[in-house]
Amino acid sequence: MKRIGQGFIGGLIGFLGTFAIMNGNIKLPFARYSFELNVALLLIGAGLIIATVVYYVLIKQTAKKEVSGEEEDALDEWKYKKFSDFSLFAQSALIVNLLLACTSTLTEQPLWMIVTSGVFLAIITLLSLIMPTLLKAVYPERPLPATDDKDYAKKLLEMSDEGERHVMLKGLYKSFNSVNLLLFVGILLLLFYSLATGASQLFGIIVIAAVLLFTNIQYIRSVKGK
Amino acid sequence: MKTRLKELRARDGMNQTELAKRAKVSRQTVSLIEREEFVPSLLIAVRMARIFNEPIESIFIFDKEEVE
Repeated sequence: MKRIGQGFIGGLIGFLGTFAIMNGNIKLPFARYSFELNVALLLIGAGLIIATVVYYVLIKQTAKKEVSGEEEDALDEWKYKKFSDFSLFAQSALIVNLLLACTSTLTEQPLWMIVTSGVFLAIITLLSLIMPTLLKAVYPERPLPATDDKDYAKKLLEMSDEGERHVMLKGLYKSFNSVNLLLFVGILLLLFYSLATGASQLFGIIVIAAVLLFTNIQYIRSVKGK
Repeated sequence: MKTRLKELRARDGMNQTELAKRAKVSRQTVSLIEREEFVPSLLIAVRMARIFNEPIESIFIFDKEEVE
């Protein structure tokens, strides 16, 4: 399955590359459908914010339950899974709403849409800030770092036990490899887009390359000599 | 590595949360060890052996190839 996926990505890049080089004047209909695109992003962004709030309330309410025996284990597992879903919704909402703020500003959308995207971004930023409070509600017995601690993320990692770190390490390593591959593919797509449309994406390519370099140097520096 | 943690918990009427509290780890870690997806450190293995009053090697069982 993985090989089929890699083959597909390789084929797509090859096709787009050849297509881009052979046709130097392709116009993608972004401008024509920009309003519809922004409305779609607005709806997705709103949906993700609603899902984040719903999960926040649901977890807060259920975390108070007092159970024992097998039910206690099941509740703990439920809280863990729902908190992971909450984090995913919050993170996705932040990204989609940031994208919305960018597209609505750059494609000169009506003022109400630009203002709404700003409001959405503010709401999801606030929701992200209360995430540590929710973690405290999920694990009231654990000595979590103070929510206003400037080293919150570092201390949270330090207080995690070896099993939790094992799970995080596996997830982060997988994600790091995906980011490396996908940003590389992203650079190629931006190059082909630049060639095909004549609209230079050089700045974006330089930024992505700098991000790739920075994250890889950071990783190697962290593991080197340990 | 095979483990008898689940069996020993059932013997002593203990849930994962209780074992986790006594061994000073998270319930997630207990669950990972029981599912044989994670080999615990020596410190946690010793704590668990003391909780169940069993030798470590009777709780965490390694194949011959794993230890040779």
